[in-house]
Amino acid sequence: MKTKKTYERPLIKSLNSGLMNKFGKRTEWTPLTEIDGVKVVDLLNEYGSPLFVYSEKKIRENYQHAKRVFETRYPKVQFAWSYKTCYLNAVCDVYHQEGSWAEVVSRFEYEKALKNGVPGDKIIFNGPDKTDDDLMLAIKNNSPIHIDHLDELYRLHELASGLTKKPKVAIRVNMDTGIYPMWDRFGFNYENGQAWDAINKIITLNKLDLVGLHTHIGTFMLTPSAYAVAASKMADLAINIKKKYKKSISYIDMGGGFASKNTLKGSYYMGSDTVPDIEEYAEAITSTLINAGFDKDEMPYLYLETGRALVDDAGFLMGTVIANKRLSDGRRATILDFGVNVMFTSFWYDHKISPVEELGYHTEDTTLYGPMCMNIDVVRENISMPPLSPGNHVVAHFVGAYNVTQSMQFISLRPAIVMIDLHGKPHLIKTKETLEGIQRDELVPQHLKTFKL
Amino acid sequence: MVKVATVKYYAQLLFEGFLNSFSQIYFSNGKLLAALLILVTFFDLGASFAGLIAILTNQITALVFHFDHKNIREGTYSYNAAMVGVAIGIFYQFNLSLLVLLVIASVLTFFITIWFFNQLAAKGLPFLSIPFLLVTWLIIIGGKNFSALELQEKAELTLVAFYPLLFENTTNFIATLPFADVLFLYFRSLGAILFQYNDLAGVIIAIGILLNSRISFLLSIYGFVLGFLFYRFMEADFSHLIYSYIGFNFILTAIALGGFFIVASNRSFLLLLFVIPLIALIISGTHGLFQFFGLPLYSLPFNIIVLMVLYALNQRVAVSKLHKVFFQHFSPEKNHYKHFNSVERFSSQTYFNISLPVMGFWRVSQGNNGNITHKDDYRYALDFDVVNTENKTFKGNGQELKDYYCFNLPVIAPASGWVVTLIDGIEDNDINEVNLQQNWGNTVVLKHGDFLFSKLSHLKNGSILVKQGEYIHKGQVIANCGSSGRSPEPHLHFQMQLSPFVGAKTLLHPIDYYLIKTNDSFQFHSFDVPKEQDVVCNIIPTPLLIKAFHFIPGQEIIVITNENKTIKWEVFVNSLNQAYLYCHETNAVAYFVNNGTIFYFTDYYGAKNTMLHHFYKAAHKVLLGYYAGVELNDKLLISDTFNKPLNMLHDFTAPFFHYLTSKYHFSFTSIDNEHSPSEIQFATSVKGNFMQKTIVSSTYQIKINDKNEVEFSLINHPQSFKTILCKSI
Repeated sequence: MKTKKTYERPLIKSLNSGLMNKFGKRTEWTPLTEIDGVKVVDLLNEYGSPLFVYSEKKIRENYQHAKRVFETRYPKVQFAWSYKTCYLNAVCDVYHQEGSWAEVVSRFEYEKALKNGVPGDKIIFNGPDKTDDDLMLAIKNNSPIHIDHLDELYRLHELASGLTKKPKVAIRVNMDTGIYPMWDRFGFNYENGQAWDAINKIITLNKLDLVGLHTHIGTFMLTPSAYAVAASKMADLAINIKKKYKKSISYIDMGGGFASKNTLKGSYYMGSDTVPDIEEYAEAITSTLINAGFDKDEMPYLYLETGRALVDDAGFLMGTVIANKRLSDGRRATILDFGVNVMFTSFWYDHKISPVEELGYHTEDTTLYGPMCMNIDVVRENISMPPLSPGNHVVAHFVGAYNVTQSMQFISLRPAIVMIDLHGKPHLIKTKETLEGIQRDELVPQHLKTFKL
Repeated sequence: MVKVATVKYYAQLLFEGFLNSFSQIYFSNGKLLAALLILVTFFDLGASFAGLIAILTNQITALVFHFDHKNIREGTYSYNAAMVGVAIGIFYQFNLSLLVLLVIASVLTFFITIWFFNQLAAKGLPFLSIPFLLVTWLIIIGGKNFSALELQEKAELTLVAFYPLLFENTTNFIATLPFADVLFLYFRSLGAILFQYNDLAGVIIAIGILLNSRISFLLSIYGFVLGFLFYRFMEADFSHLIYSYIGFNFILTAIALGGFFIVASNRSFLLLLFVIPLIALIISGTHGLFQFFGLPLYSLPFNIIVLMVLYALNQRVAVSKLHKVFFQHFSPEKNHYKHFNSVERFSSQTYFNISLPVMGFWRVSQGNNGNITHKDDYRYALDFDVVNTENKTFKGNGQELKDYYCFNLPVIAPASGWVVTLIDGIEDNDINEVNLQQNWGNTVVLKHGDFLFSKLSHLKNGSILVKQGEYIHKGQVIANCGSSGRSPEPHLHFQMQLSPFVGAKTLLHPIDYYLIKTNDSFQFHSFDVPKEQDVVCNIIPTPLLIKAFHFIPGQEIIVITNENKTIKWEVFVNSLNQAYLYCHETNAVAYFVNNGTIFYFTDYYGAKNTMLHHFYKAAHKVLLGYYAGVELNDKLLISDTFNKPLNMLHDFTAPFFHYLTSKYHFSFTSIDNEHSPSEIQFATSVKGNFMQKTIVSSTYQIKINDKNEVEFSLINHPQSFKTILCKSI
């Protein structure tokens, strides 16, 4: 049978001799037709475009892999799911099913975790903003509270003085690990003695139970050795606390910051080639802790608040080409139906974007714009893609982290979110936003309700 | 000034020694049996008096020469003297000269006892009644030389002289029973051991033996009947058996080899089937010879045969079903139950604890007797790798070493030891390549003890962190997993061996404690060899549990019962380095072991149903690492669960099969905080089963906290209680 060939518009491309140009290396013409066995087109047809899709399989694989990588290097490991990375309940629940605790940085996230059914003592309460009420709730639930500043420490002492049970606390420590920028705005500094000051206060006042030490040295860390420095400084604190106060620290929380395989803007090589594997971070942290000199029976637990590295590649954003146009300098531009309002991370990364349909393998340099009537709405500044036509579909990769939690209802409504389960069955985990939903909390004073135009 | 306490101590020592001198003759230390035996010797006042003098002299000699009080208390030195005394007392009229002879004879018995005791103990043999034989024969022969001694013509101060009817009636009664001729011989033979050749003595002794030990009683009949049948079958001269009722040799041999020195079992009964005729043969062979010198054979055949058989058993290359008793409990029952209990509980236990050489969950990719390379000399090796939930060993396409989950993972020391052999510098192979020239690849051999080495092979090139000769501790990282040598893909080869050489043949050795992961549950294994495809992990202890079950010698434990009564326990360690809890109120003792992974009780002595006995049952085996859902099973002695009558009834068939069992079960119930717990609870149960059916059961709940307290309660019982143990710091 003779099938009709797909029409492809002609394109003129200058031939470069010598080295390949910077676009040439990143030709994205391999189509992504399905995710976990489900056709992308079918998903778009059923749930509308654009659409976020999470792969449960990938989430579980990532988690199990990370857990295995750490547990085969260190005997006592506990992951806590970083809610801010992606607090879709369905996603959180997958992590909790796998045994992950919750790490939250606000009352809102705290209550979300509680509602998801995480026991209070398995919710780590981080962040600089905790009201007295928040702290009392955390104390009541026996949650480990990670103290960020002295004022919080004083508040906690005041709150704890009326209680019979000592609140479980840890202090957040910041330190120089040789990387820039140094995150010194959170917690107590190691080098200048603030950390010891806080530790001394907690232990000598004896109102709080210092169960852990917490650090979080940065985000999208591309140097695993920085974690070795951090781990050694944390171990030093823990061992000296034992020496000075005969008190064993139950856990060392190394925070998060492991990079995902995304490509940072301005980076020459692709993320998949340059970003360290999770094994490398694990090696740096665990070998430092194992050799730090802890008493064999009193090795502290290693807590990890890994977010991005566990979820980024499990999330996809798929959409449709709205139009093509040519810019003043002759460059091609393509307008998609999703933009920076739902894909905030396009400010950080050059996301990998694949076509969905089988297109030719001739590519042209193009700019991908979002649908918004805002100049900043650029999905990819430069990308080499086969010629896309209106109605074609594309998929953005590595969008699992931070996009859902940071997406804005700006100009357009936020899309639906689907999770594909282990058996390849899609489940709607968040419906597309509606006007009614957005306006539900809005109030209009009576005198403004009528107008004549 | 002599303190009252000292007098009391010595009085008690001598009294207990006196009682045991009698019960030891019948392989026991039962007080009731001793009382009945003493009663029997009182049938002849002279004999009993002579026995008393002999024992006392023996004990005083032992004390003067500073011998071990334990042996004095157990009557070990004096039971031969007791027999010598009774024999002399029956033989001669009582006068001053006899008293002198008695004293001299028992001093001699003592020295001969010491000599044989130590000479034979060095060979792992008992000295039985050799001292008695030598001294008694000496006196029988030498006594003719002492005119001051008079043979006892007609006993005057005997029970039979006062109550002849009692004896007659007993005899007449037995005559009415079936097999009366055998019964007469049996009872008189039993009595003959104490030189009481009458039926009443025999009946009393038989009752004593029965009450004291069902197995001994069964053996006495079994042995005697065997001997009797042999005589009848061979149409032998029965006058041998009637003359001084020498048939008691059958009885003593049966008890000695059937349950006292050898653990009672169907095998020990089978052994007797062949051994008893030997006794008969010796009796027949030596009877005439000894009669020529006017000497009774007494227990000579028993001594010869028991020593010969035990000596032969000591020379065996391997032990399968016929077990010698290693720790003598002076009771065939205790010997039997405790032996089989410890075989079931500890037989796989090894002296050295070898753990898994890795952290986290690894898969056994090739087990013992694997069909790739674990064959012949290398059949007891284990290969490990790491798999994901789909049982795949690598991510991506698996073309690179670093795709493999186990590659570059730390390998840890399975036990403490010295680095004796070290090979490094061999390149890791590409995937599917093997290096047959350097078969084992980069390797570390650790020495854990003389003739116990572990070998870790195929390590990553350049990853070895230890140095030759270095002493490393269990769990220390020694290298990383690689793929050097004969290794087509990254994995760890682990084997135990007897020599430090690379390529030495493997030794079958269990892994001490580990968990097997199946789906989402864990299975606990102790002293077992992981099977191929098992996904295994070392046990990580929970500090709170370790602390709660860490009993330090000298520590006092105050036990507060729910009636607010307080009992004091104390922790001791004996000379064999065994730790035990001692109850100051009941004198009960419970031996325990805490090895950092498991806390378990090994043995209990003392009254049943005391608080210590409950604790011994409730915390019989405790896992010191918290794992929800993990279960432990163990066994107790049936005497820990069942009442005395049921126990006694069970004793009769115990050598052949056990229809009663007591089983222990352990599982965790709750933890208040998994990582910094201040309270952990677990539930245990002890079930007494008749065949498969549970007929008695106790369920305990144990709660430990960070205040050094252990609270345990019995919950399913009418006598339920709640008790708190508070440990002194």
